[in-house]
Amino acid sequence: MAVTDHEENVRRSAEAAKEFVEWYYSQLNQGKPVCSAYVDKNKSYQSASIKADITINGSPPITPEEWDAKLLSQRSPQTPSQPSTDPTTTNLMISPKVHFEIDSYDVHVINADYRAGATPAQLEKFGTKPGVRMMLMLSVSGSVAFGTTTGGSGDFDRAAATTTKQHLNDTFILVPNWDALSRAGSRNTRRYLVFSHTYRAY
Amino acid sequence: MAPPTGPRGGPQRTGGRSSRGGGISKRRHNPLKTDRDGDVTMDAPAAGRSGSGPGARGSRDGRGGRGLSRGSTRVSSRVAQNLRNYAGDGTVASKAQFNRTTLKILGLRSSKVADKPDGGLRTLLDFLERKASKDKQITIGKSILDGDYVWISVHKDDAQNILHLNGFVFTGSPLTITETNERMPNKEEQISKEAAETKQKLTAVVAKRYDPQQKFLDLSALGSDDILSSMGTFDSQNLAEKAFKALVHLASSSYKNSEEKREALQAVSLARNNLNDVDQVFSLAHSLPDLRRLDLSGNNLDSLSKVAKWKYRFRYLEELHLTGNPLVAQENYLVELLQWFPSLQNLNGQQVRTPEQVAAGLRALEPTPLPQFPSNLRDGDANVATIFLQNFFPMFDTDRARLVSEFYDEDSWFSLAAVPNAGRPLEWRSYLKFSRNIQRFGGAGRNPGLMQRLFTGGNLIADMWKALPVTRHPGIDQPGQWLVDCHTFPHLADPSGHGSAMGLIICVNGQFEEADASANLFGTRTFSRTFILGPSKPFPPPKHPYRVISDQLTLHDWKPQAEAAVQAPVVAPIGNPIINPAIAPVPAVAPAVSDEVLKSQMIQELSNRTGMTAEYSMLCLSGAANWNFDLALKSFEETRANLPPQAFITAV
Repeated sequence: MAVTDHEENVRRSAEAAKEFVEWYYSQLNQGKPVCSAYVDKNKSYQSASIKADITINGSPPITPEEWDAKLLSQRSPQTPSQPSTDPTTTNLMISPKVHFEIDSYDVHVINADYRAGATPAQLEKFGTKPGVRMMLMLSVSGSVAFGTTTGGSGDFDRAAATTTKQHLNDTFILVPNWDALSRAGSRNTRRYLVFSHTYRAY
Repeated sequence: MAPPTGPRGGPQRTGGRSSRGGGISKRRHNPLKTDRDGDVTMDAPAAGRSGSGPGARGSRDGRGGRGLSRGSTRVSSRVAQNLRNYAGDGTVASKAQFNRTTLKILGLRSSKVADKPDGGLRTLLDFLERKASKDKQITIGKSILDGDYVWISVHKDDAQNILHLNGFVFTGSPLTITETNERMPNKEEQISKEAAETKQKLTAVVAKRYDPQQKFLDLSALGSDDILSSMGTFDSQNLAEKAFKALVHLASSSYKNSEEKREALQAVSLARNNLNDVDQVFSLAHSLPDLRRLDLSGNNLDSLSKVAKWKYRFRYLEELHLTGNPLVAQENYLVELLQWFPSLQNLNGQQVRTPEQVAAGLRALEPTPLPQFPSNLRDGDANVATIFLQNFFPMFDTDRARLVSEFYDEDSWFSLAAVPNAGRPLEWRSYLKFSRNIQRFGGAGRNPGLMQRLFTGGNLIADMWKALPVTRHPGIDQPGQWLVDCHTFPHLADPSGHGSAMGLIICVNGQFEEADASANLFGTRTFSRTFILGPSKPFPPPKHPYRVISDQLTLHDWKPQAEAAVQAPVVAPIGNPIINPAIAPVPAVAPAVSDEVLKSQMIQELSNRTGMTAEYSMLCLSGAANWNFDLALKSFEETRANLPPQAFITAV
């Protein structure tokens, strides 16, 4: 039934969006890397040679690792002079001087029959289920506050941050993480991955 | 076992509390206790606890008093208590509670239980609660014994029941109970009275050791201080640390704000205190985080790890003395210290950094917003995005029905999210009822708003748009009004039902004028709007080769900061096709070239991308490109072959 499928898509897309937004910006606010959220890091998509398109403030496309490095440099411009080779361990020591505050987000299903990157077995498995093989367009609106930390407490100084604040408009195209969908009990894995990311903070 | 500082229902009272509301059973509950009180009708507290051990000391009623640490001597405990009062916020503000009534009770002193360690207070309170609790259980709130009077706080509805007991005889003594508007004495103030002497002495120490001219607090060689020694401050390590904390608190708490403190107290000496870890004096970093000079010489700090607790504290520390500590014999300790203290210029009397280096280093520690580039249009050779936007916004302003019929079909999705930011007083009513802000939706996927506020199909969208206020968007070629990023992407469903199709995502940031004629409201609103375009369905024959699959509008009323490096427009004027959409046209308004930070970021970015040295990158950006990054990149590509080897960081 088409109506039921539509409703299921809407419901599941909202859940996926919530899950993604909560995880993604919590990572950013903790200074943790987010490159694992992009299709580039996923084996299924790697084997299909599918890569994410990331545009930051109108920059030419960059890789997820470069995005992590940019985030790091935004927090503390000194650090990139000694880049870490392992992006997963880069910036945990950096105090959170940049804070993302999300005011709103909304999501649409732009392709309810998404197939790219999936193996025939995976397609077969999820072929009839609505709300699973979705390509989503997620737009997030909020602000980026730039604060300073006093001492080594590492706490974000909101009072100082209010002086420098940018509006944030983040747009993602999300696609299913086939690996997470196929594995039973993989609750902690990202169920959707970023296929396109357009970031604007101004 | 709960600590002695527990609430009223704590261990002392378990005997009396175990059967709330049942007056008869309470009396039966623990007959042994009544014997101790010498009053068979009493419902007494747990036996044997009061008066034995340090836990019962220091608090007159034994209820809300602080328990003192076991094992301390009585003198040390008192000093420690006093010190703690000054080190922390010693006094507790007495807040007015509107639903409480304060009552004064006279008569306890002459009762038979007055000899009890708590003055009989607990026994009296139990008596009052039991006698007053006829229709309902009445609980007395705060209570304190002050001189001859017992002060109690009860709920205002319960006050009458207690006042009714006025004249009752309590263990041989008639009680006089009166209501009062006076403020209840504060337990903390009582302790302060006891500790006033300690405070006075510590204040004298601070006064003696503070030099207002030099803005210098000399806490060196505290062990040889007569006053402190006479107070027994150095009887134990614990006490000495508390004394230090109290001294620093006294020295730093007399200023109105942190600026005044920063100005008046710039230097501290902790020399010759036999410190073997700064952990012992850690509170200095809390109380005086903006300290500029610090003397730790002549202590016993034997490695950097013993200073590490202060790592990244004292952001403004310019001068540090560590001579006479074993750690100065270690190699490379300077390197670490320079990292830990970004303002450090002088170590042990030697200059280790110039003020300029410090300034540069501090600047580098500040977070810097990411560089801002003009619109990034990667919409293929057909300039689909440009042409779409040129059509879309004028039509949205003038003829929304036609716009829907041309670009939307029965599968198109539209929703808007209204995010009223603090700032301009624009009316949001027209939008909020449609706002599909999932962040605000409870119940995630189950919220009915998800469906109700999602508009699918051209007809619904057109109807909804009729309800939105009239708008006027600036021309897409207007400078400084738009930021557009777009790119094509694969894997959309092909409308034919076979295979996949290419799509185009367009993210638009801009503003429009709004007129709500019915409410006579006019203003400018900022917005972000994201479109997903995909190929049109073959039937019925479409007007355009592409259609809107998804349209999300976010209204946020953002007021850009004056210094924000928003740059400008990008989309070419109508009728002026873009030759290469990947390269944005020169903005009519030059980017914020006055912004040195932005410039240096662009130089760095260009250098990263091209491998050119910073100098050549700057030349490239500041030349004909006029700080337009894309133009500079383009100009680099064009002139690359002619550039000398020294233009590159690593000559190829």
